[in-house]
Amino acid sequence: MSIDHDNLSWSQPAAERLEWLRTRYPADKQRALILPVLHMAQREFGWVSPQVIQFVAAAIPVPTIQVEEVACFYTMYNRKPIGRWHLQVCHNISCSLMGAEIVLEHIEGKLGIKRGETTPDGEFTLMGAECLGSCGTAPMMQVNDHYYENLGLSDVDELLEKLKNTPDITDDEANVAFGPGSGPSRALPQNGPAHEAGAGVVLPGHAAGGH
Amino acid sequence: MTYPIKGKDQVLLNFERGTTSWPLDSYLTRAGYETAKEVLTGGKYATPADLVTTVKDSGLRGRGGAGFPTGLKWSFLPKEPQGPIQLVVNADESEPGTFKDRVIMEENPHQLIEGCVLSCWAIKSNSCYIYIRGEYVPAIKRMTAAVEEAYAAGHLGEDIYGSGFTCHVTVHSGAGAYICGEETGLIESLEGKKGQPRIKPPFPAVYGVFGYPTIVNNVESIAAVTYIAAAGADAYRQWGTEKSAGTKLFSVSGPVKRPGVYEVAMGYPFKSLLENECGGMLDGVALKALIVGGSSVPVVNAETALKINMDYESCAENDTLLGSGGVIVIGEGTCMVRALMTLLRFYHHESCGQCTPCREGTGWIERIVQRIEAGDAKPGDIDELYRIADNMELRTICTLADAAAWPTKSFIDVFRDEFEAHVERGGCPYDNQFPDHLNLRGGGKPQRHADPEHAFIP
Repeated sequence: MSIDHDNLSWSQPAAERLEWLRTRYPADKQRALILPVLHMAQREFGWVSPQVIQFVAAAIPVPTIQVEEVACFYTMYNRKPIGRWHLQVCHNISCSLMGAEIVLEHIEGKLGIKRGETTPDGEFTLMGAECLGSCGTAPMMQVNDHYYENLGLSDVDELLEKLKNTPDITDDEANVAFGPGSGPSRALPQNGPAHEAGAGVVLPGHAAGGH
Repeated sequence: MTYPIKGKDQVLLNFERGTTSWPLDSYLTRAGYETAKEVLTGGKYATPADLVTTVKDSGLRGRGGAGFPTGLKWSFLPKEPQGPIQLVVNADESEPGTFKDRVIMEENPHQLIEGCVLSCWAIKSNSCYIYIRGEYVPAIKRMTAAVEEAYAAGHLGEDIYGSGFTCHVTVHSGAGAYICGEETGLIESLEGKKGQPRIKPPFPAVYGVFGYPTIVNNVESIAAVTYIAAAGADAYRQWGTEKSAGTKLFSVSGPVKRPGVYEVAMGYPFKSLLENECGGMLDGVALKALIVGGSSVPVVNAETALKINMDYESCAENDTLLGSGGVIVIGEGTCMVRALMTLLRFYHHESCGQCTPCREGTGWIERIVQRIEAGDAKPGDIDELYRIADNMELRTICTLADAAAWPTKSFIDVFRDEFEAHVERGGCPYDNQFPDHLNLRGGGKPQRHADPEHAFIP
């Protein structure tokens, strides 16, 4: 899936969600849309390129510099293209007490990259992450939007193998409507109630002006 | 003193864990939204001020970490507010070791929403934002779905239950910045800016989000308001101590048998929490140290840890803080210098860069601790480390610098011999090895699926 960053446009659900978002913040304070719209843009376009920043600024609209500074400040906006699978291994205190560094080193060896790098085939980006709030099920890592917890090294091996063989899941409406989250919407197959929370209810993007 | 376990799972986790507890249907079986209905239409409280008084009398203190009395905070709103009052729920749970709000949002989201409605009514607000850290995708999805359910069922929106009262709730996602858990940093972020904390005064109650009077409360505080509004101040006060009323969620991590989130009465001894709820330490691992309230609070050794009761007073007596309730248990075999190094990498990374003592200081002390761990320490480095941490304290706009300084000073105070051993030996006495109980190499360890939703299924 390759997206032409010189020629950006919203998908229909994203365009609807943008209109809905406008109604959730005071009319004269639309700068508040920057974070949610950047999330949405990252999901739509894969990463936050300079063109995406201009596109978002024009869509809200706000001065480009305001979007630029937000995109720089927050860690979830990817200023470079990332791999198909974004592996973020928490290595903060609780996870490191339970062996997160061992997990990180194991993955580095396995993929032949250091943290912060992407494999040459574009499959995996590996990062060390700060506390992801999963301390009781350490060690853990986030893969795109999903948490994988209580990791043993054999689990990691198994997961990496499965990820390699899992095809992309194309953007679905639910993901766009939910908006927030890191990386493009290449969610793993739905695997539990937490990830099905939206099923069967009216999604915000589809209830524009309904409140 | 043996403390009764009463208060366990009474206020916030009053449902069977591991069941489908989050949909509206399930919440309605737990008397869901009945309090909101009674308060909005039935005159349960004669005026909003009466509900504020009840929350004040309940002794509820902010559950985000600072422990400021919630009702008192509400009363700081100006009598003649300039602009519409805003309620902001701080769900930017990022304090290392803390994962309690996530449980409320994922397993009991409607209690939080009902708390939003009641709190909005009390402070005369019609607008509430729930600011959730961006990484919490499942929580964001759950809360978003729950808010939609509540709108569809008439628990949110215009003229709720025909009462004439309007309450709008919007779920807003952060984007990865610890500093946005600081309330004015959060406000800046919600406005679409970098999350750099504001100089106070003016306080948010006067000049908050969008320049409007704003109350920022933690998820757990607002969820507790639902119970307090329903049952009254005395009911809440049946648990806890004089200055630490009610129940509290504690998220326990580290080498214990059953880590996880537990609701117990304030004042519950740490020893009981460890032994009863958590099933004790992992076999063969002795308790070495404890960080009782999230990574920012001072560390204590095992002996002190076993004297601590989980309340504000007892923590203060033992030279630490209850903080957010993020209980980080540290086992024997863990290198404390390495543990501090991990923490300082975090604070350095998360410093927003506004204030020099924090921006420069967090990096400076991180580099010194890295040196000590690597065996490259210079004579006097430990004292230098302590001095810099001391100079970072109370010299910045927000408390992030203090949050880096407190653990640093306490790690040295409590485990100075370990720091000195690094310097004398010219390296880590643990040889940069991980504790023996980490049986990760080759084969993994048994899976503990505390939360079946997050089971390991690629």
